[in-house]
Amino acid sequence: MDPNTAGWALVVALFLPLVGAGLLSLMPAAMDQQIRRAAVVITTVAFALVAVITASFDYGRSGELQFTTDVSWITAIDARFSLGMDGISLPLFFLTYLLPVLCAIYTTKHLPSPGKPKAFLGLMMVLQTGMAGTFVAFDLVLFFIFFELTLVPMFFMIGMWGGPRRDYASVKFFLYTLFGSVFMLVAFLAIYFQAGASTWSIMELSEMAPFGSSTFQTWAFLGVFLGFAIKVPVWPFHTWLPDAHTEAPTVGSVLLAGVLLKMGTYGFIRIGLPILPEGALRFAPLIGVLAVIGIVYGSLCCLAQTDVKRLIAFSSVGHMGFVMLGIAAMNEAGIQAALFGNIAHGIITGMLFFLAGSLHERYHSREISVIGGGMLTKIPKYGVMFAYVAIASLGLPGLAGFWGEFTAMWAAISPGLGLADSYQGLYLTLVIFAAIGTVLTAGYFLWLLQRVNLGKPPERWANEPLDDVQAIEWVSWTPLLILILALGVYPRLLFGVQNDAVANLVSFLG
Amino acid sequence: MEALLEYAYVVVLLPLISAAAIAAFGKQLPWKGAELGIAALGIGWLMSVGIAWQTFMNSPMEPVEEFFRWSPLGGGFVFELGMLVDGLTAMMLLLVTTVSLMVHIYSREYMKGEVRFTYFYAMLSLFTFSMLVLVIANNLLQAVIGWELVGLCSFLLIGFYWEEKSNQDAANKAFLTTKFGDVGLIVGVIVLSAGMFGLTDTPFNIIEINQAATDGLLSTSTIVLGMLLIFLGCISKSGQMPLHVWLPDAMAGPTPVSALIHAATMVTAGVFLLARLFPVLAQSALVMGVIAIVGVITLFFGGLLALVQDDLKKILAYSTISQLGYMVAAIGVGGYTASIFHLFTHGFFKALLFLGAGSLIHAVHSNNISDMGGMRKAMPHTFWTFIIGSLALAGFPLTAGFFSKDEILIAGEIWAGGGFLTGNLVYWIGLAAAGVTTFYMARACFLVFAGENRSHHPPHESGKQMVGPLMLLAVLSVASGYLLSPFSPDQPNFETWTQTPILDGDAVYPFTVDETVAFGVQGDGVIASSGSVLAAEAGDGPVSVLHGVPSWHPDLLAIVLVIFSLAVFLAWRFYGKGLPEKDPMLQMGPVTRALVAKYGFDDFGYRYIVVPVRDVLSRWATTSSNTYIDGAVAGVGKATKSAAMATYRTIDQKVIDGAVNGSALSAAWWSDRLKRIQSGDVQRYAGAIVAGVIVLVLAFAAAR
Amino acid sequence: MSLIGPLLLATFLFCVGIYGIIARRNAVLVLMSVELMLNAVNINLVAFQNVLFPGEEAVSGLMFALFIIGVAAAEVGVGLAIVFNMFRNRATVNVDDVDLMRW
Repeated sequence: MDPNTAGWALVVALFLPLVGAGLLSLMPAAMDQQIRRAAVVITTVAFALVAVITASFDYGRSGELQFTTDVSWITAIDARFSLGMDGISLPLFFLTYLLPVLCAIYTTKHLPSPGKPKAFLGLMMVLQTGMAGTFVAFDLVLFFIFFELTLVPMFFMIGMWGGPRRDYASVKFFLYTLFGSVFMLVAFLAIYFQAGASTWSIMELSEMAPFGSSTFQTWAFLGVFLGFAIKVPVWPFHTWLPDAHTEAPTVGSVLLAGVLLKMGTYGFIRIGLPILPEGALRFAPLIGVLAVIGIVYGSLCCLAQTDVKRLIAFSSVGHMGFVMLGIAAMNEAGIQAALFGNIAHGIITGMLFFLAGSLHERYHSREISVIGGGMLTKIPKYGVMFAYVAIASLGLPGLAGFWGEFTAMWAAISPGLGLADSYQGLYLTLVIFAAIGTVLTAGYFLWLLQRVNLGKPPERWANEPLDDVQAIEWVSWTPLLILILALGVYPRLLFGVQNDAVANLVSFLG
Repeated sequence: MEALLEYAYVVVLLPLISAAAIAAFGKQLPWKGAELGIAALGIGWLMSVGIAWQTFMNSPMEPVEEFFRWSPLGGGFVFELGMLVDGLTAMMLLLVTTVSLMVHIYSREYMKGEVRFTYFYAMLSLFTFSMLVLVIANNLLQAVIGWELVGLCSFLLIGFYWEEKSNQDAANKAFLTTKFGDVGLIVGVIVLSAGMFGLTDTPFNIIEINQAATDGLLSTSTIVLGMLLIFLGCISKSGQMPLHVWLPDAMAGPTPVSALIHAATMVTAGVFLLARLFPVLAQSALVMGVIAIVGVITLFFGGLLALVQDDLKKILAYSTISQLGYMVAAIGVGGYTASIFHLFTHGFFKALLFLGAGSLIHAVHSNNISDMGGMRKAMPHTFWTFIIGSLALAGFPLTAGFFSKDEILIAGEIWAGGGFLTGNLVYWIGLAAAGVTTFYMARACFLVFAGENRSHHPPHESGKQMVGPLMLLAVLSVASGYLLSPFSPDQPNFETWTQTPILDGDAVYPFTVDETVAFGVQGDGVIASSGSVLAAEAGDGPVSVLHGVPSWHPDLLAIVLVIFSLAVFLAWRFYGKGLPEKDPMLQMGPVTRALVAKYGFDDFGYRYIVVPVRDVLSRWATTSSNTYIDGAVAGVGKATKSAAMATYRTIDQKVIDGAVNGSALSAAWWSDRLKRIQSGDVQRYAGAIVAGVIVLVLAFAAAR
Repeated sequence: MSLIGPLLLATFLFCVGIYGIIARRNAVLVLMSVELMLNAVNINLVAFQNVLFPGEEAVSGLMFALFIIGVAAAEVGVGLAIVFNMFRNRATVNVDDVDLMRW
C-alpha cells in the first residue's frame, strides 16, 4: 500500500467500525453470542487494516502527512473532508483500533447488566470511529465533529451499563465535556475568521501562525484550553473523571482512559500549540503549574481512596499531569514525552481498568477492605499481573510508564521558546515537585498492593472458589502486557516514530 | 583476551536470561531453577575475572565504550544503551558476580524447602542483572534505570515473606525511602544533563559529563545543584543518615538477600555513582564538604546504633551503614581510591559476615544473639570464617579491612593537610568509630561463640554449599586488601586499576590550587566563595587526586592496635562469659534510650511524614476535590439549574406560554360570536349572496 | 333588432326570482322562483346569440340555453322530491322551519 496514494485505506478504516455498528444493528437481538462474535470479527478486520496501514507507513517521512484524503465537503463554510496521518497520529490511531478488539474479546464473556450486547458493541464501534477520526482529521470542523461524536456513545455506555450512580455520572460527563467544547468551538470560529475566513485546515493554519493580536491569541487559547483541559483532565477540571470511571462499565473505562482522554492532549499538541503559539507560550507556565498540582494532588487523593477503581481513576489525574508537564515544556522533548506518556498511560491504565473490572467480577466489590489482601495466595496469576501493571504504572524503568514521566521532567528543566530565561526557577520547582509526585505514586500503589495482594486471604474468601485469570482474559490482556514491556525496553518504538513529526510541529512554534 | 572487554555486556545479559528461564520453566528442573542461576553466574563470574585481569594488568588503560543509539528523546538528543568498561566497572563486575555467585550457591541449601524457592532464584538473578546494568552503564540514564530496578528487586526480596505485615511494611519502607532519594537522583541527573545541552547530543554520557566538568564547561550552579541532588539519591540508597532508616528494616528479607543486596552490592550503588561522577564533584569544595560531613555523621552515629541491637542481622546492618559512611566520607575528603577500595573489600567481608550470620540463624532458628552462645564448638567453620570477617570489619592489621580503612584515614589526613577541616573530622572520628566497630563486633562474637548454648535447638554445622562460599569469601576478605598495600608497591595496583583517565596521575583538586577560592570552583557561580566553614586554614598547596601506594604509618598502626585491643578487652570483660545479667550497653540511661529509639528518626518519619501525607493530606485532597472543586462544578450546575427554573416559571410559563394560551382563548371567544352567522336559514344565505354580489358590482363599478 | 327589450325582460324576471327566493316561505314557491331566474338567463343567452352572432354556424348560446332547460328540469325533479320528503317528515313546507344546518 503506497502511503502517498492510499488515502482510501484510512477512510475505509475510519468508517469500518461505523458500518460495523450498522451491521450489528441488523442482527436479531436473540442472537446474543453471534453478535458478540461478529463484533470481534469486525473490530479485528478494522484492526488488521490499520495494522497494514501501520506496516506500510513511510517511517522515513514520518513528519509529513500520509494516507491523505482532501475533498471539498461543506463548500458554504470552506470546510473540507481532510484526513491524513503523521508520526504523531499513527500511535494513537493504532491504539484506537487495538483496544476495541480487546474490549470486544473481553465482552464475549463479560457484559454487565442489562446485557444487550448489540447496543453495547454498536455504541462501542461508533465511539471507535469518533475517537479514530479525531486523530486523523486535519480540518477543524471535521475534528470538532469527531471530537463531539464520542460523547454520545460514551454517555449511553455509562448511563445504561454503569454502576449505581450511573445517571449522575453520565450526565456529568456529558455536560462537563460539552461545556468545554463550546468554548473550543468559539475559539475555532475565532481562529477561522482571524485567519481570513478561508480555511479550516490545521496544517495551513499552523503555517500561517502566529496571526492576530496578542489579545486574540490569549482569548483564543483560553477557549481551546478549556475544551481540551476538561477532556484531559487538567486539575482542577478533573472531577468528572473519577465519577465517570467509577460508574462506567469495564469496557467503557478502558476506552475512556485508553483513548478518550488522549484526545485532549492530542488537541493541545495538534491544534493549541502550532496554531496559537503565542497564546500557548503565555499559558505554558500556568499549564505547568496546574499539571504539577495535578500530579501531587492526584497522588494524594489516591492515598485516601478505598475503592480500587476510583483509585485508578484518580491516578489518571496524576499521570495526565506528567503529560501536561511535557506540553508545558514547549520543546521537542516535552512533546515527545507527552505523546509517549499518552500512549503509555492508555495501555497501562486501560489494563488496570480491565483488572479492576475483573476484580469486581470475582469479589463482587471493589472496596480494598472487602478484598482484604492475599490475592497472591488466592489467585496468584492475577495477583502477579496486578502487581506488574501497578509497578508499570508507578513508572518503573524498563516498563512503559517510565519514559513519559522521566522525559517530561527532563524536558521541563529547560523549557523551550525562551521560557527558560524568564521561568527557570519555576520550572525547576515544577520538576522537583513532579519528582516528589513519583514518590507519592509509588506510595499509593505499593500501599494498594500491600492491602490487596499481600498477606493472607481473609476468612470470608479463604474457602471461596475464585477464578484465576481466565482464558478469555489472557487473550484480551496479553497484547497490553507485552506492549507495556516492549515500550519500556525499546522506547524507540514511539520516540522514533514521533521524532520527525514532533520536530516538524515544534518548528511551527517559532 | 582484549576482545573479552568488548563482550562485557554478556556478563550483564546472562543473569537476565537465567532470570527469564527460571521464571519460565525453573519449577520443572531438578534443582528448581537454582542450577540455571548458578550456571549463568558461574559463566559471568569467569568472564568478570577475565575482564578484571585484563584491565588490571594493563592499567591504567583507556576505557572501552560501546553503545547503541537506543532511542531519540526529542530535540535531537539520544538515549544510549551502552557499556563503559574501565577498571572501576571491572572491579564492580568482579565484586557483584563473585558475591552473587556465592549467594546463589549458598541459597540452595539455605532456602531449601521454601515455597517460593524458584521465585527466589529468579529474583536473585534479576537483581544481579539490574545491578550489572547499573555498574556497566556508560550514561547516567541507564544508571538510573539500573538503580530503580535494583530498588524494585530489593523491594520484592525484602517482602519475600509477604504473609507477614511487618515484612510488607519493611519492603514498602525500603522502596519509598529510596524512592524519595531517587527524586534527588533523577532531578540531579536531569540538571547535569541540562548542563550538557549544546555540548553533545548524548547529554547523559558519563565520560562526556566528566570531561565537560573538568574542562570547566559546566556552570557552578549546575555542578553544585546536580551533584547535591544526586548525592541525595546516594544518601537514601547507600543508607546515609538521615535516610538510613530503611536498611535495618530491610533485614526482614532472607539472609542471603541481605548479604547480596543490603551489604555488598546495591547499597554501595550510591558510592559507586559518586565515584563514577567523581571528576564532577571534585570541582566543588561545597559538594565535597557536604558529602564528607554526611559520611562522617553516618559512620559514627550509624555505628553507635549497633551497640544496643540484639538481632545479629541488625548489628550487621548498622555496621553496613557505618562502613558506607566511611566510603562516602572518603569520597568527600578526596579519597577516591580509598573509598572504592573499601567498597571492594567491604563487599567481601560483609557478605561473609551476613552469610555466616545466615549459617548461625539457620542452625538456631533465631536472629537474636541472646538466643545463641557457644557456637564455636558446634560450628567451627562458621566460627573461623565469621571471626575473619569480624577482624576485617574491625580493621585488624593485615586483613583487607585494615588496608582499605586506613587508606580512608590517610586520605583524611592528606585532606586535612590541604587545609580542610573535614579531613581532620574523618581522621579522628573515623578512628573513634573503628573502636566502636571493634567493640560491637567483639560483643557479637563473644555472645554468639563463647559461653553456653542458649538456643532451644542443638546447633549443627551447615552443609558444604553454605560453608564453601564462607571459606572463599574469608580468603577474599584477607587477600583483597593486598591489591593496594605497602606490600605491593609496584604498579599495577588497585589505584591504577580504578583511576579514570580524566583524573590521571597529575590531577589536583581545582579549588586547592588557588587558596583564595578554597570554597569555590573554577569559573563564576552563585554558590561559590560564600564562606569558608569547611576550610580551616589555607592549605599546603594543591592536593592531588591520586595518593599513590600507601607507605607504612607506624603511628597510625599503633593507634589502631591500641584502639583494637582496648575495645576487644572491654568486650571480653563484659561478654566473655556469655550474656551478662545486665548488658552494660543497655544501662547507659539516656544514651541507651536514644540508641534504642534509633535517635527517633524512624518515629519522626512515621509520625511527621508518613502519617500526615498518607492520612491527613490525602484526606484533605480528596475532601477538597469532592467539596470545593467538585462543589464548584456542582455549584455551576445548580446555578444553571435554578436559572433555568426561573426562566421556565416566569418567562416561559407566564409570558411566552401566556401569549400562546391567550391566543387560543381569544379564538374561542370570537368563534362563539361569529358562529351565529351560521343560522341554517337558506334564505338568509341567499340574501347575503345577493348583497355580496351587489357590493361587488358596485365596487367594480366604482373601481372603473 | 335591439337587445334592450329582451334584456329588460330578463332583468325583470331575474329580480322577481330573487325576490321569490328571499321573501317567500313556501319551499315550492322558492323552487319556482329559481326557475324564473334560470329562464331569465335563458332569455339573455338566446337574445345575445341572435343579435350579436346572427346566422353563424356556431350556436353556443342556444346550446347553453338548452342545457339550462335540462338542468332546470332535473333540478325541479330533485327539488320537489326533497320538498315531498320534507313535508312527509315534518308536515310543513315552510323553509323557516327547516334549520338543520344551523351551528
